[in-house]
Amino acid sequence: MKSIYLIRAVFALATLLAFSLTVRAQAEKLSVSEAARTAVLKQHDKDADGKLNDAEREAMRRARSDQGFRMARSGRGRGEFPPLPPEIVKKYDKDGDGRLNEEERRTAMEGMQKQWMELQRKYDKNTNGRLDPEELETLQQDAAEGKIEDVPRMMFGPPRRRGSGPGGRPLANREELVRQMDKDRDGKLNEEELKAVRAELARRASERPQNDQPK
Amino acid sequence: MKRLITKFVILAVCSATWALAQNEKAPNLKFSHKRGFYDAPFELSITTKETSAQIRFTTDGTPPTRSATAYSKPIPISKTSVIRAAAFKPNSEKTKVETQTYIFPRDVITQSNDGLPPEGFPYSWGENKVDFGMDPRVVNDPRYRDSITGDLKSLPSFSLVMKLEDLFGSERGIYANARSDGREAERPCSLELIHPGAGDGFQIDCGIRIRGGFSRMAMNPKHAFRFFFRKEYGDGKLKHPLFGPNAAQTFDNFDLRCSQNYSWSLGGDANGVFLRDQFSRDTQLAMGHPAARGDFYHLYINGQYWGLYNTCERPEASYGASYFGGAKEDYDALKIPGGFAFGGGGGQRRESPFPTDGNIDAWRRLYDIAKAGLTNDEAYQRILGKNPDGTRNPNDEVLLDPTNLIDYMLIIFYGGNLDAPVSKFGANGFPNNWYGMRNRKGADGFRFFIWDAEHTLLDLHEDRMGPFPTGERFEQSNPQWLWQQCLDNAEFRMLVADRVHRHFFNDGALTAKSATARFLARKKEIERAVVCESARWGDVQGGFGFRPPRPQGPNGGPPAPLSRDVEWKNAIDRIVNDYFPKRGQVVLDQLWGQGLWPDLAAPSFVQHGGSVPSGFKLSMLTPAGTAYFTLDGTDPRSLGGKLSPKAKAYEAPVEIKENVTIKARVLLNNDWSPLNEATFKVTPKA
Repeated sequence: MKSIYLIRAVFALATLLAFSLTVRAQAEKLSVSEAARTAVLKQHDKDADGKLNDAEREAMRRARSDQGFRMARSGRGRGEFPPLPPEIVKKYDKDGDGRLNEEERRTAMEGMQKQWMELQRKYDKNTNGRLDPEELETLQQDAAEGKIEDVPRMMFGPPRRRGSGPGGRPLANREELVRQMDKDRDGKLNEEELKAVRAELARRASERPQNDQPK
Repeated sequence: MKRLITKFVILAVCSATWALAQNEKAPNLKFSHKRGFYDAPFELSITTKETSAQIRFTTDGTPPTRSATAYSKPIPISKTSVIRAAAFKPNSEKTKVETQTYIFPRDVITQSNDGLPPEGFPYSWGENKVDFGMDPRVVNDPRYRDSITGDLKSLPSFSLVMKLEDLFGSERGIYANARSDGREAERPCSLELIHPGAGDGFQIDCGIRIRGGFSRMAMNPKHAFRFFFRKEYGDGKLKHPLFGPNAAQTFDNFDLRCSQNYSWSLGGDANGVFLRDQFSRDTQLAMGHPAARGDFYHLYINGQYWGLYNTCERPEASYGASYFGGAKEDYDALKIPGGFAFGGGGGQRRESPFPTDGNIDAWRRLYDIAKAGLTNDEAYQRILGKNPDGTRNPNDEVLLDPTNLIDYMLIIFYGGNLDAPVSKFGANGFPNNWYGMRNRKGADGFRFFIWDAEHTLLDLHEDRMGPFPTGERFEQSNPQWLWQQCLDNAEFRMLVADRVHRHFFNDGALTAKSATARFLARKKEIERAVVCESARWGDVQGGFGFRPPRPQGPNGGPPAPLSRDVEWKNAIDRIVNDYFPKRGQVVLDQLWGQGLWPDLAAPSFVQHGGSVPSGFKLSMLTPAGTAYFTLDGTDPRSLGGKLSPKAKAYEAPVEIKENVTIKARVLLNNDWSPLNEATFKVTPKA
């Protein structure tokens, strides 16, 4: 009889151990990391038991909350996104700390907007009050070549290119062809001019070697 | 006198007859081929029963008038075409225009492969950046060329048909002047839903506007749309299960979003996955809350393929009436307009939450109470419509749904949302992208809706916990500010811990397993369609703002188009293999660092809910303290932290003989753990 009780006790203990290991494994999948805890506990674990009880946690929350508000109001901490080009940061960084606080960023945004308005006026060659695709392309080209003072090369990106065939070669000198076909020289292609361009492209495509044809 | 009366009667009868004739509607048309996908050419016949009516039609998207081409014989259809037709009776003024779109995938993949505008489309779109066509480098790529025509049928398609002048005209075009908003920037259109196989589509005449904030800029060639269903266009509502059988079945409007941030179409961003916003909205649904549902579609504009789009319900009053009941007029639906727009948003930037429906009075009352402080239970319970002891006070309005607010903020934190409800792009000094809703006559407080969550799933260690002072002025009030005020209250903090436990453990919605499954389900939906997006928009370059240009291609040519099997796959893999497995830990650490996650662990169940045989004995593991549980659905912890009289101390496995929800907590030195709860269903004996 005693052996039966012993067997039962061992079995119960083994079951409890197995359960404990199983649930502990599940629990261990997600728990506060030691890295997160270490620095904080030193400051806020007043009874030094290695854990934060409700009162200690609330004290920590208030302290960090107050600190967070102070930082946010001063513009430090979490205010830098997206990263502005270095030239822009340098231009508007009045306090010289290498980053833009809230006020400096506002000034930067307003300054860049004003600059954009001036560029629009400068590149609006046909003075229709807006930048047509060709005018924008010229602006982009000048920016890419660093010809526009005080504007980073990357601000407007490289001019758009289309119509490349295999290996990146242009299918045709499209831009030149378009310029040739703009009969009324209004900077745009109307339907009739577009038909002529398509016909010319089709003619040139039929004259290309077979292995150069898009499939 | 008699003659006068007779003349009058004759005149009246003639007038009535003439008036009837004027208002007589022309009969409906019958098309020999219904809208859809075709491979072989066919002859389209259009008939009407009314022999005196003349059918007229157009192929350029414009509604036919009496001067349109007269139909006299079947129309040969051999490529993607949009046919708009109407029958005109001699004295009839009103006709119903019927619109049918026929899509030939073999023709779609060669659309504008030279980059030039297709026939009838303009060379320029006002000041807006232009982009046309399907890039042959994608269409002919050995990886895609045998399947791309099928990829066009991997999702349902919307076909938008309208006067192109109303889209691209420099004066009236809404696409060309995408910053225009409001009713004056709405144009009439036809919208068809076309399923590639079996499936019930629709055609409806409606109003269209450009949708979005930042995406309206002229540098963006791919704009998003919003559709309005009004009687002036035809049917006053769209009646269709657009979001499935369990969602609303009628709509006043809906959005058709395109990914703008981290997209291929705006500056060629290799981080494009097209799923970020939908994932957050799906997450809100998965957590048991109402959300703006959405699905994915191809879009055609007058027969031209326009890429991958994403529907989105709008959480406005009509949404509230559909899902929560009551009348639209009883809802306050709030949003923040405009967003933070750099360099081109134009005009004044409104910050103050404004009502799309109703008013902001209740929001103001909630704000004022929260501003005065919510540390004591009287104030906190008051915004829940309760007495300080937690019982319902019928004289107090319910202003807040705290569970909804907490879960909404957990989604924000988990996604690392940079642009909602406080925008990091404004140095965290501006609210953005939030919607809130409440029925003034209902029993629920304000609920918040995930909106425009494109800036998510980015930096693994992103910390959006704040706190942020944004909201200290009413004009900048937002859900995160409200959350911060509520955190001063111990009961709210306990609820936060409970919700964190619910969603971050036991396969909850924010565990790696659940998040990954949810994300991959959507990924699977669109992975064929992404090839088509690559062909249409994968080659857009030009940089955007602060993004450096992509490296040039071979021989100095343009970079290769962004593709599904390279850039999309890499972006997806990063989220699945790096972000989801680790993000839960990161956020838990952040919550702990804010004092919102206790060290005292909740009791664990040997089985977390599900089916069990009758008599099953549920064991609980408690690392420290004493576990208390209930079987009647109540909390073992009472308001204020007292032990509930209905709670039982766990001393032995709990026998389950019937369906039950078990709620359990640990109590140690007057501190309570988060709640663990699970529902068990007893399976009948075989």
